Amino acid sequence: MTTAVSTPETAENKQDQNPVENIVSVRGLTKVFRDFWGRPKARAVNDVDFDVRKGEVFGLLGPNGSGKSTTVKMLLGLLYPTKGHLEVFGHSPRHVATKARIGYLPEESYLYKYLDAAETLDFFGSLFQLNKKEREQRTEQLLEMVGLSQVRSRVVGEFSKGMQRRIGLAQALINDPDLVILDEPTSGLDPIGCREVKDLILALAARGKTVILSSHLLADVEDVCDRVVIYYGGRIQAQGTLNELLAKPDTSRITTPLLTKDVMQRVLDILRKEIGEEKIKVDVPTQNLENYFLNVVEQAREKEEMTSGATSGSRVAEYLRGDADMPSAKRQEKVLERLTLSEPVEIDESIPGEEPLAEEEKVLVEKLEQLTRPEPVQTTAAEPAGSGVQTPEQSRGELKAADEKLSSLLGGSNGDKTGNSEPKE
Amino acid sequence: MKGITAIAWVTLKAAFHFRLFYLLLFLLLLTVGALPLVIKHDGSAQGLIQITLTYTLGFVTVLLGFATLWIACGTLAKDIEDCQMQMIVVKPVSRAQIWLGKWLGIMGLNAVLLSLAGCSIYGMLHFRAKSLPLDQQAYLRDKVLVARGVSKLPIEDFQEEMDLAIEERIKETIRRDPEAALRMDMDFLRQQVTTEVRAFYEQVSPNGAGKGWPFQLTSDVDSIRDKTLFIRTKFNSAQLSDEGKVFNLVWGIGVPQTPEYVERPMDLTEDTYHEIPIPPNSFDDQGRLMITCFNMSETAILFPLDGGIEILYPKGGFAMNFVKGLLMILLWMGLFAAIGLMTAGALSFPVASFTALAILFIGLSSGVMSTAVEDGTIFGYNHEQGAPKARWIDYLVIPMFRFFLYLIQAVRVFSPIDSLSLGQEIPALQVGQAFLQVGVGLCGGLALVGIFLFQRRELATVQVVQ
Ligand SMILES: Nc1ncnc2c1ncn2[C@@H]1O[C@H](COP(=O)(O)OP(=O)(O)OP(=O)(O)O)[C@@H](O)[C@H]1O
Ligand SMILES: [Mg+2]
Repeated sequence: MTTAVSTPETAENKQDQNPVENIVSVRGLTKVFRDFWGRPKARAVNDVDFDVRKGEVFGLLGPNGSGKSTTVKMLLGLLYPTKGHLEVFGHSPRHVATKARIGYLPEESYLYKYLDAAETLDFFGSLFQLNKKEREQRTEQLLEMVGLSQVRSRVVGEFSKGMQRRIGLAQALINDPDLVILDEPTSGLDPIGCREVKDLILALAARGKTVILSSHLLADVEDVCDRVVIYYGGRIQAQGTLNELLAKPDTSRITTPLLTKDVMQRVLDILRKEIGEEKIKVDVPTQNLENYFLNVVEQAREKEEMTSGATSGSRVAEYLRGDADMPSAKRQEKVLERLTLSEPVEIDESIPGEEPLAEEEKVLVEKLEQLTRPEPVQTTAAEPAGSGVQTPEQSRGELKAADEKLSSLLGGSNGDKTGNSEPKE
Repeated sequence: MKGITAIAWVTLKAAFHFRLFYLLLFLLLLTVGALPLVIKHDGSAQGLIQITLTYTLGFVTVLLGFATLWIACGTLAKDIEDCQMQMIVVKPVSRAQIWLGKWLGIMGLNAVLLSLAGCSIYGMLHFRAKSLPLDQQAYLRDKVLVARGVSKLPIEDFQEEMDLAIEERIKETIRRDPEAALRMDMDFLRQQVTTEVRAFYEQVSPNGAGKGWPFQLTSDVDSIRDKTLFIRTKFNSAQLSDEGKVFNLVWGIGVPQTPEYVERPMDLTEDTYHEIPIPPNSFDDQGRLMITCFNMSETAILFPLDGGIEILYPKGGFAMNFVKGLLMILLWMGLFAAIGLMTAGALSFPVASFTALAILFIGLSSGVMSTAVEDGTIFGYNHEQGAPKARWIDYLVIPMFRFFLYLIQAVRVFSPIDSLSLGQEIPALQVGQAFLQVGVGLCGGLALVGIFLFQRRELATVQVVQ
């Protein structure tokens, strides 16, 4: 398996060799949002093909507004495709009976604010025709699972965002679905919650359930997904298993526990002799998918793909930038570099021909580095992030760190997943 | 089915949560309690009934009707706009079930509110009746707080007669002037003949002329033995200028020239309902009763064919009748709920409630429509220049109006409040008919349209970020 980027064709070829039941199949799916007069407003999804096979955890990745939720909503019959064909369990998404096999968590928790936690689950249970006893049992267990047993008789309108998310998750599972569709399941959840969601997804997968997960939290995706598609501008830019996508056929990687400086030096010496300084890259392999993702999006942007969603904010607004000593693009690049390649970097290392970093920026970089360093973390996740440039990596770093800390706290019961740098499978 | 009831339950629960139930209940009870205090009646039984029953029940109906329309629009449109509907349609319930669940929820609310309002009206009526003078109390007991059966004249079919008369008229014209026959306006002729034939049946000539009507009362003759029956009548003067004039009429009850025959002279105002008591046992063994009216005045009078003269006989208790009346009002509410849901399934809340109101007002302004349909144009009929040239818009609008009128008529024929105020029995048959026409026919039709529109609606086009 050496393909890095698989086109739809290769995906289908593969399927021919190894026939598996397709739970979802999408062909030429296109969604154009139109205004009242029928004029196109946004092409949210553009000629998309993919299949989701039975028992796999399938990830929909993409920047904001790239069409993930729109795809999911078409799968559920909440939006009707402008063009293309779409089958879920071999039926149209509007086939009512099929829905008994699907659980859905939308990106926001749209709950009746006047029902309490237990009533909410009971209500959704009734929609699945579950009898009273079954509803009661499942409600009890689900509330226990999402940690809301204590507040079962409080109305959900009073719940915090994360608590509402948890109820949303619980209702998605009340029918013990064969296909679970989760749209950004970890948004709004605390680190423990995120962790639990990931464990849950893996548990479902282990039971042979199929999971479709939309997210831009790459760590989440990397931890749980078997196969992903990456969207940009409504089109699939890449799709395949994580192995396929992340393997670089012409590179080798040796993964070891963190080496001491001394050992590292000796290893590098040997390698230098064999292949030369410039081809060696030492990193802590935690952010592969992230790099890959950024790469794909970057490439797509270079090709100037149209997107109706958010283009990533590559420039900090002028009035926020403060001193203009360094060309802004350059400076950000540097920060990003430090964040994405977590190669141990000397703080005082100065890039030739450039001014040293501004003081606050240094602090920020230091802090983030600390967070992303795979050593036992000193800082706690609860510590407020530094002010200044807010990047997704920053929060991700914190989350990662917190996850790791948690896994050690929890006695490593789930430790084999999080913090594991190996591509899955 | 579980899905439908769950949705109905949530809908009902919302009404309680948003205090809507309590507000409506408060308003309804306020109406029942305060209206009779604000509007003083004249101390007669009729006055009391008019305020405590007719006005109050009417007001309750209007209040509940508007509330229903609004709640129906709100419950569906808001669920769609706030996206909760997205969580429901991804479950194995069809949109039809969702729609029906909503409808049932609203109807549950209506049923509770209407029965509470009904109970309080019923209590109020009996409570306040005690303060009336004794004779008025007796009047109330005999004429209003009962369910009286109505015996109507058989509706005669004039079609044959009219066709004959028209043929006659054409033949005569041809005999006199064949040229003119070609220029004859058939519509006009038909109208003229109809008026003449009707007048023949409705009219009682002046100066002592009389007209008799044989009534067939209930087949259960024993049930009305020894009871006082009433003639209920309303007539018009043949001269339009006689508005409000008093006429001297002599009513003959029974078959003339028999020992049971009695005559009752009275002075009665035209265009008003009168009730004339009939001595007990004036009917024969088969329950037939002959009524004659002699017109002693100098002007001819007309008894309209529908409701000009009827016989009322005691049939049942008020309570049961009252319940039947409330049931019919509940049917109307079902209609309002269906209108509200239909618009809300397709439109956003403000637009939906506006549209629903517009539909309601079209229903109430049926007078304009029926004039237009009669004239065949919406531009007004000019009586000097004759029929106008039909404009293209008439071809479009008139059939539409005709259809609307047909629908409105299907609802309007049932007037439970009038029946209750007049102490008339609402026949079970009529309740059944109303159920079929309004409940099944109209509500069903609206439901089909509503579900169709709701089905087509994309539910995730609104993005709500909480
Ligand atoms: N109802 C709508 N009307 C118009 N445009 C819409 C609508 N819903 C989504 N879009 C557009 O479609 C595109 C894709 O939106 P979508 O919600 O699928 O993105 P997403 O990938 O889920 O993003 P995010 O990560 O922010 O959730 C965006 O440009 C969005 O503006
Ligand atoms: Mg989304």
